[in-house]
Amino acid sequence: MHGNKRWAMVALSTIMLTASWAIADDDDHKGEEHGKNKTTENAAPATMDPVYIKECGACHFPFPVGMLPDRSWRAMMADLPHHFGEDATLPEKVAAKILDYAVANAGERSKNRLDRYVASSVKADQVPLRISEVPFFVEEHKEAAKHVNAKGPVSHWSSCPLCHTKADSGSFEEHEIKIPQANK
Amino acid sequence: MIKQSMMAVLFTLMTMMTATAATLEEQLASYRTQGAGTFDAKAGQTLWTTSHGTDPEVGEKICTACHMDDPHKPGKHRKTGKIIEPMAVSVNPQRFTDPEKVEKWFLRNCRQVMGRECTPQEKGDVLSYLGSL
Repeated sequence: MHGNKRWAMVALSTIMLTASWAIADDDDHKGEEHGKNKTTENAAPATMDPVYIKECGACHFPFPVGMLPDRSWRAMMADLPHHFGEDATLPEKVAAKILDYAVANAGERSKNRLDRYVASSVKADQVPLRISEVPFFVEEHKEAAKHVNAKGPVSHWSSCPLCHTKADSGSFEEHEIKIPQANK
Repeated sequence: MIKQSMMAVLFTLMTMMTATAATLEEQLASYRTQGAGTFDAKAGQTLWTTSHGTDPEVGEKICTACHMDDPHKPGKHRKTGKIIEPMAVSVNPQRFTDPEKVEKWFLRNCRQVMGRECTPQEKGDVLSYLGSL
């Protein structure tokens, strides 16, 4: 892909994802079509399902679904009334649509090579429900672990965009990391 | 035959109505058709500010744990930190204009906080409270 074209696509997907995450809030915007970009081998997924962003993003950062394997998504979506201690029940049809999207793009069948690697780091008998339990994640965040604590500016692993400054556009490159420091 | 067609038209209209934006008043009217009586903002406030104990995983079970004490101000999801827009209709007129959204959150949050679903009366009381601010 030519440099300019690639940059244009990155910029476009950044704007779209940022916008959709910003409006996801708990204010529901229905049926907006987001641009569809081709996913290159190692690029972050350029599109996220708008229903996924709207419903899941209403409470938390809409994590890239490729960071968990197929079986994790099936287990998660089968028990929304007990979603990490919260009741996250969705109408059946909406939940089914999100599950379709998640399993279609789950780690093992993602177009993204890194996602496939992440999925392969999970042992066959494990069904992680938290991305932060995936072996690849744990390994990659060894150094960052000391910055994540209840009293600091980064209190939960779920707050990806606090350190990954381009997370909203689906990019988690090392040079984009900026860890917020506690006020002293 | 004609009766059937009319019913079909009526049903379609009703579906269209529930799918489009509703006012708070329409929302309250729908609770009345489900058996609720007169709504009481004071009772709604009591419900909104009553604690139902503590959940070991998520903390105190009370509306204000996430929505915060002042409904005119934004709340914050206690685990994810996600900002929740104000609940008071006076500062956030978009509140309660989407019946599907209202029901989705009542279902989740009543079960979360009270351990059961809210009755139409309770929902109407809470909306009356948040609509009166």
